[in-house]
Amino acid sequence: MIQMFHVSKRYQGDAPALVDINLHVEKGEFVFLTGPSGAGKTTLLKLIFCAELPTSGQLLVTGRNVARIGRSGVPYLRRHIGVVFQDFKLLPNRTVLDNVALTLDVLGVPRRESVRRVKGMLKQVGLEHKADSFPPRLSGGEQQRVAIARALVNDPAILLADEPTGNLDPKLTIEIMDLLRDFSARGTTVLVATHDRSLLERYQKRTIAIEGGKVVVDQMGPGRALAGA
Amino acid sequence: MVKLVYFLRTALGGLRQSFFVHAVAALAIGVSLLAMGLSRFAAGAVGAAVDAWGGDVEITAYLKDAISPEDASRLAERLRREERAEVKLVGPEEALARLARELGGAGQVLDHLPKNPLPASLELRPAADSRSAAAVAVFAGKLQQAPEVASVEYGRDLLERLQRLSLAVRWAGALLLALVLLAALVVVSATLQLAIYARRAEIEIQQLVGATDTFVKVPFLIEGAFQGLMGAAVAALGLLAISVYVAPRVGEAFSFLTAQLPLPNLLEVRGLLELAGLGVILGLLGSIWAVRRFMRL
Repeated sequence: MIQMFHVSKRYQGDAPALVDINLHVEKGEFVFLTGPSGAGKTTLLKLIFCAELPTSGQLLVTGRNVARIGRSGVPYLRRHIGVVFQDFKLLPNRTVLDNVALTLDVLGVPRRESVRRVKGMLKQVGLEHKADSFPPRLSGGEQQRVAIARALVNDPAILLADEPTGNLDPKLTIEIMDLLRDFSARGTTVLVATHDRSLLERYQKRTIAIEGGKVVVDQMGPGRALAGA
Repeated sequence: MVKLVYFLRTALGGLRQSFFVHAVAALAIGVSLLAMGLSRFAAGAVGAAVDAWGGDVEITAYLKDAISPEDASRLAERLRREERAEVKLVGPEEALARLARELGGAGQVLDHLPKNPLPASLELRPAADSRSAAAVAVFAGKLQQAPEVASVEYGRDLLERLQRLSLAVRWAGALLLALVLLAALVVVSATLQLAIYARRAEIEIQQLVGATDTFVKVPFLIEGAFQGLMGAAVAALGLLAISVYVAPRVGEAFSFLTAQLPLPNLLEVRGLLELAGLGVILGLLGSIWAVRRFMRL
């Protein structure tokens, strides 16, 4: 699903953000990206959803070489990738339903069909009763669930979550992480960037640790061999 | 079709969201279109005045002494037929009698002349569709070429001055108009950049979930076109007010020049369609400019 071959990223005038990354993530896999702040976790996610391009190396996402798709191809690749951020990125003046429907609007899904799918998705994240609410009236956990619903409503192959629980208390954190684990179990490839070690211990999933732009640890959860090893 | 509905819904939402900003832009377009309408009106009024004066101008063609009355009649007949002009043949005797009348008491002096020095002449009024200054000049030139004609006189200086005035008004109007249109374009572009900036979070999310650049841009272009239409409506209302309250007074003010100055109609259907079209073009250009600047970032 995601393949990186000797990928490096350097921002002009800065130290390298990522150095010689080799990585294979299979369909339906759940992967934690961990490491201290500034280690390169967010940069790695940005490369996957083409917010940045690698300085060198090859990156294949859902079988497409991102270096070759060009600027015009990026939107079409992103339709296979859902992204969730720490700060939710919801539109405060749009209802929960409209926020989630934005993903389907871009695809040209008719309004009636869109409403049906959004309501189904909100049910999956436990927010069907909040469809007409506005984000500022929701709790942090609820807002993050809306963001997850928006990221997954078009059934993407990959879900990227950058510190999705960074703004949440421990109870809500578990709520959100359980949700992500459930979607992974249904076939979505999930990458979660976090520096919360308690999550790694609780969920026992494949963990890739990055420090100074390099992969220092890539270990599977219990009972599974490292892909490609 | 689904996307078009979405674009329209988004554009209308955008207009509602930043109503004041859009109203300012529409007003700018309205003022510039109003200025355009007025400059056309002014140019039309000057043109009408020039044409009206052209219609009043009589051309006098003095015939050579050697031309017989029969030849003079034939020339008059030919000009009536070929040029559709009103022609009056004035013989030397009639010319002398007129001069005597104009001189009044002093006219007796003319009795002592050994012979009548005045030539026969043709007094001409060009056909109704050939009374513009340019057409009159062409007609006079043609007459001058005729072998029977010694010299031609008409209000050339006046007509040429009017023509220059007409041209100057048109150029000044065009220059002023270009400046006003440019100013409107800048205002439209600036307001739309504000509108785009206000919706940058939405744009960021759209791009994140796979919106193409076109998908992001189209609602803003529609907003620009709407601004143009609203501006055209403002301009039409302004022109309506002017045509009802101001134009008749302008007509009266110029009535000393000619009783029936045919002022151009400000509110023809074609003119309104042109206003709407120009408004939309102005709005679209402003929004394209704004979107290009923003999307480059």
